[in-house]
Amino acid sequence: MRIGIGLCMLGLIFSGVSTNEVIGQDAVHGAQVYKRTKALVQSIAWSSSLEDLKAEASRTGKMIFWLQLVGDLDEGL
Amino acid sequence: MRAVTLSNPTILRYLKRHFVCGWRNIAGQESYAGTSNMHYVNWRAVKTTTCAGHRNVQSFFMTPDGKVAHCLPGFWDAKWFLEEAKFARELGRLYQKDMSTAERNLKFLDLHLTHALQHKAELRKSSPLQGFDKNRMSRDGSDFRRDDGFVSGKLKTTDQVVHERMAERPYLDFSRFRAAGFVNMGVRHFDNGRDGCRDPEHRHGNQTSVRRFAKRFELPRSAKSNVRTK
Repeated sequence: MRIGIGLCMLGLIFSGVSTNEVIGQDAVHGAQVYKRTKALVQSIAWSSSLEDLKAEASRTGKMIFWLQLVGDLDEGL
Repeated sequence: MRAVTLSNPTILRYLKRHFVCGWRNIAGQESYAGTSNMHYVNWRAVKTTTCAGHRNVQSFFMTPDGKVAHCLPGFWDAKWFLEEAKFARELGRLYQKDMSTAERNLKFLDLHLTHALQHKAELRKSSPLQGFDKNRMSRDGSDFRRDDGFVSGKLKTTDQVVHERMAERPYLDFSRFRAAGFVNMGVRHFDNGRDGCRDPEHRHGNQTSVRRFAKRFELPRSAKSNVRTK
């Protein structure tokens, strides 16, 4: 058992996998990124005006989720 | 963040049901906006550490009149993002309660710090500062330094600092929320390829000093070749 764990650790070290990559082991592949981004953009009515959102939030009683990005939500980041 | 967390079906449903949503491109618009390698919409995306890319993405949760209840800088895994979104709604409900501003602000502070204490070990473990950020935030005066208590000398994790910083900013109007100080968790350049973060504020002018810079921060050999000046 211990030998197995040791071999796995050695494997990770020699394959150049960092701690970050272990945390991020479930990556999303390119085609999926495209699909998921499309779903994100299409299933929510995103606004670019905070004032409009405030008016809508006051009307509906919902809170505001405001996302700031370096780049575009539906294009390159 | 968009491909791993925001587009998660549970998150999508939750946002749609409880929030009105908007977004803005801050590239070149805000002094605190970071830089990163270009990432196209059909490129692979990976999970990373909590708050990585803190200057590149910020998720604000606000009351209907635009008071900031919570802000999550950088990447948050879907599981933790959902917890924080639920917590933001709790803060939203507190805002609606009939009480004095002082009383509400005290409760706001208490809720943020209590929530931070209740973060699971798994979240804390996934929230270390990344290499260069760690170097930057271990300087004197940084709120990441744990100068008191029996674990002094160690840096706090990003998930904890987010709540501590929020606790100091009770229901600030979005226009008065100084995001520059809030999102400062290290260098401006988020290197999603992890091939050597570099800080444009401290960019050196020639290759010799760049090599010295890389050596000083003990970048792996592969990273040194990627450190370049513009």
